[in-house]
Amino acid sequence: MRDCPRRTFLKTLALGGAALKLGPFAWDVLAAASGPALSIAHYRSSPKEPDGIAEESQRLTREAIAGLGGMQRFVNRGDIVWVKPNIGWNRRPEQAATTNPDVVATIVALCYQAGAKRVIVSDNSCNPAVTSFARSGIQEAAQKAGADCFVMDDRKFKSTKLNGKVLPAWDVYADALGANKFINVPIAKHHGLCKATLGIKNLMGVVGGERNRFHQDLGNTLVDLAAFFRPNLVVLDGVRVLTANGPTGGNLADVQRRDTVVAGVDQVAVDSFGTTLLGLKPQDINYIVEASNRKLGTMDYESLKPRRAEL
Amino acid sequence: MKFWARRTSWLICGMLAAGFFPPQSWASGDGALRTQASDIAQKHLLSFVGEPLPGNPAAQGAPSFYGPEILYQYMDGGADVYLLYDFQVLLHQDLKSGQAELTVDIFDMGNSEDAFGMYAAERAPGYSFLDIGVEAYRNEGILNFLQDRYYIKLAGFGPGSDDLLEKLARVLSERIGGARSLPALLEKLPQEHRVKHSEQFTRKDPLGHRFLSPAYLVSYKQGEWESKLLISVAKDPAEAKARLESLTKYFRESGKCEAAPDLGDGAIQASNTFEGRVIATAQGRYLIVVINPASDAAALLKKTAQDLK
Repeated sequence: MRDCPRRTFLKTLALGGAALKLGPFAWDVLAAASGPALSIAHYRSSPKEPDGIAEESQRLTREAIAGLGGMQRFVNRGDIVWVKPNIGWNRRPEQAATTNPDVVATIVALCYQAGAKRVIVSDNSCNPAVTSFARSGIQEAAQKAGADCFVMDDRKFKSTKLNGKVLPAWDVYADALGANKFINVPIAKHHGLCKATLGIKNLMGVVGGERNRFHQDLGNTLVDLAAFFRPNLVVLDGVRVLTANGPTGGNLADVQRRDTVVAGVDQVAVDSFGTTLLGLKPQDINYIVEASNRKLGTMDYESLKPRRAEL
Repeated sequence: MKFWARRTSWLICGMLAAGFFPPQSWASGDGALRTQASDIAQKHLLSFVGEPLPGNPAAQGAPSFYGPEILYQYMDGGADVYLLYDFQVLLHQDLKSGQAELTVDIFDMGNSEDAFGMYAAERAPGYSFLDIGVEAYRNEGILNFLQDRYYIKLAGFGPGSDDLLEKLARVLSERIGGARSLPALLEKLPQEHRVKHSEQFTRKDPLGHRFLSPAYLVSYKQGEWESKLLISVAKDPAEAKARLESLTKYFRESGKCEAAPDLGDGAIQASNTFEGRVIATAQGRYLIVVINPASDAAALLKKTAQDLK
């Protein structure tokens, strides 16, 4: 430390100080702070056949994470990793209401390659969970990749202090808090209430209780969750996006291909870019604006000089 | 679609800001019934899905019922739009026939106008429509239709499920009976240049303005130019005139507004940066507004006023 330049010393000191204020996965934010913050991978073609889409999804996910320096930047040997896709709905992957299972499986595989001891994949589904886990294809894909993928047990939600602006405490899934690392894997979708559901909104799947109460003030409740969880990594599935009648979807006519996967350490920046996949701007989404105001990240994702890959 | 997304979000945010809560709790399928009315409603819904059904499917578990306060447990944020349309109760039933798995969701919206409003909120003109009930549309794995006070959403997975969905829909339609026509007012609106399947009904805060509630909205298209015809339904002519005055005041404060006597008594033409250009007049108990009027929109406005006399 004695030999490092003054600027580096001060930056490290600032990051360390910031880390003390952060949530359950705080200490790894320091590790994640060194390296690119945002990586966008896009497929030039848009394959129609299932095998082609699967390969595309896998390649885009690997490329997006590679653009940040690889999964080893976020996952250490022996880590228990909680991977949080959207498994909320009893829908097939093509209906784009749930995260692409190939994106999820690729992340699971990369975690194990980086040395994870255990990877857990789960969500607090809105539709009946057993059918949602099966129909989304996520359970099968995640388990094939070696993950523990299970329906949440209602008894494991524990009241947890969030110290939020409007949520002093809420029921959080205890197993998620027991993990070393948290990777948020949302899909970009229209949402009838808040216009878009992306990463920050996806965090609702780690909490229980009367979640409809969140809807009274999504601009603050979601940001309280974002401030608490602060995922180590966010990987946004934009291969297929739901452009209308979200979050439930169902009609293939509402699904459009964007052939994009975005990975980032700044959850506000990832969501901000995600709005563009839905024809929106980050300023259109109240919880993104609030998250930016609370300095959880930046809406100006271009300022992060994202690494872009065209495949 | 951005217009609709914006409009729907205004409605929901306004409603939530007003602190609206549905008045009654309902139990899910495995809980006790709370009121006699709920008992009757549930039994009536159950009668639609009784055996025999096409494909002789087996029920996968007991049916579930969701009332306004717990609909979010099934649909999360998707529930709020239903609440805007005075949703009463949902019957949810899973079925299996061979390898085909079917989901039946029957939403009792309380009355046919609200059922239309909810159905139309999820419909787009480009969908693939078919003749079941008042109207239906389908795509791979889904078939939704409107009939009487009910909005029915069917989903199917697995081989043969799409064929079964249509057969199931027709059987349900027969059992439901009741009204099989669109709201009467829509029949009176001009047909020329009308975009088929674009009609919508908004009970609360159309375009974000409480004073316009409730209202119908229809798209008209000439070439690439698209206009919206909004019919705000008041109690009586006096209220319709008061709504026109409120609209005038709004545009004066947010942009420009001037009298347009050639469009009718008390008619206006106005503009602002948010709604753009509009022309409006009152006729009987209706406030008629054309948003983004085409060059011959005066004819549309006048014909509408004439047809609504």
